[in-house]
Amino acid sequence: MKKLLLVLTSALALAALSGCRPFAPATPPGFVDLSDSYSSDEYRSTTADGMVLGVRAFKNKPKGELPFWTKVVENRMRDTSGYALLETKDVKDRSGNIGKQLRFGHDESAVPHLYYVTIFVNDDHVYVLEAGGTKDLVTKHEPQIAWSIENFLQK
Amino acid sequence: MVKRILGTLGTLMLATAIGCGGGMYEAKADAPPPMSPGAYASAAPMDESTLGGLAAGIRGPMMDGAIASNGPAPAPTSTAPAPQGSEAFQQHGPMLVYTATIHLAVFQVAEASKQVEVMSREAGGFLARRDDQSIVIRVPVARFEETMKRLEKLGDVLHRNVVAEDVTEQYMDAEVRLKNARAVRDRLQQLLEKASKVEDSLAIEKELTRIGNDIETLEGKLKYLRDRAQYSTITVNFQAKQTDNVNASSVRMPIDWLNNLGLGRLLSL
Repeated sequence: MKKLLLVLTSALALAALSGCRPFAPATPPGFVDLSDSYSSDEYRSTTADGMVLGVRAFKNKPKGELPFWTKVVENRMRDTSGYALLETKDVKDRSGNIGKQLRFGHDESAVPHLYYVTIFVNDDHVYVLEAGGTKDLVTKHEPQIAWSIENFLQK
Repeated sequence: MVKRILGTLGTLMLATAIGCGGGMYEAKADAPPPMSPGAYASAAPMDESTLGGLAAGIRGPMMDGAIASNGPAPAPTSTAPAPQGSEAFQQHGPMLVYTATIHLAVFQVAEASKQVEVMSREAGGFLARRDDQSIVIRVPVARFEETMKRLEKLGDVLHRNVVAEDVTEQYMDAEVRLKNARAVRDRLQQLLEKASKVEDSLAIEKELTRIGNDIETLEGKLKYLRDRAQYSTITVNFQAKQTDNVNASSVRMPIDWLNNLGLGRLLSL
């Protein structure tokens, strides 16, 4: 009886947690999920050496399409934050939704860093998937970053 | 013989050392007048306006806010012989180096900076340094006051600072020391001609080398002081006039989460 209660409670807690999140992130091998330390609409994971992945969901308000949000983020990072746009790539999530990945370069204390922002948009949400770290780290973890995007699920 | 030569050298060195003080100045009545325009003219090539400027530059003190009334005056037109020795100072006053800094609020910084450079050339001066926010020019001291007035018309003067540094004592001291060093050198050369022993010659040549270095150093110092007195240094710092913060190239979207993008936030776990 006690076991059954524990299982039920766990199931309910899991359902509640996943129910709050408008997305299901994918944590690649070698990364640890840090979601417990963040709000329910935010996901973070990291490797031991400091390569970080993050996912956030925002209401699609004002309502815009993927090109709009891509351009808004691009302008923001280039004009205001001083990031250099290195490359733009088309990507797909686990359901086949098309997104856009912006790859930025930025020097922090004379150390080159890379910052990838991947954007998916549906009627309700704008999903922002971030990956960043030193250039060496990000380059080393390219396959895991790609995997986390390909297995990302919108809700 | 060596003892005698060294004794003579010692006496000459003592004379040089004493010569560093102002007290020796009267003793060199036959020296060229250190502060007369002619003295500057022989030391550095310059045109009439520069000479006039120098003469004006040693006239009297000019303090902040008193430029118009006490600034450098035009070149003297008198053809009377230059006063000798300390009379030159009594007649012309101190040798002053003018340095000014102006902070100007202007509408277009780049355009204003160009105008300052043109002004310096028109005044017979030159550009010394320039960056995006400031420019340093050097103008003949006779055109200092006029240039300052023209500069102040370029924009709103936020702050102005004029410093007149009196380098008379430095100049006189260096000149007396130079004269005495040359006298020592001449005497050593005479001794060298008379020296009959190799060791005497070596000792005198060693001393000649040292005194030669001293002479070069003192000549350099005099040249430097003359240059500073002939050309005033003016630094103009620009500040763009406050306007509405309009940036047509980047539209600020009223979306809060855009402010939270970037490596800084992502890597703060």
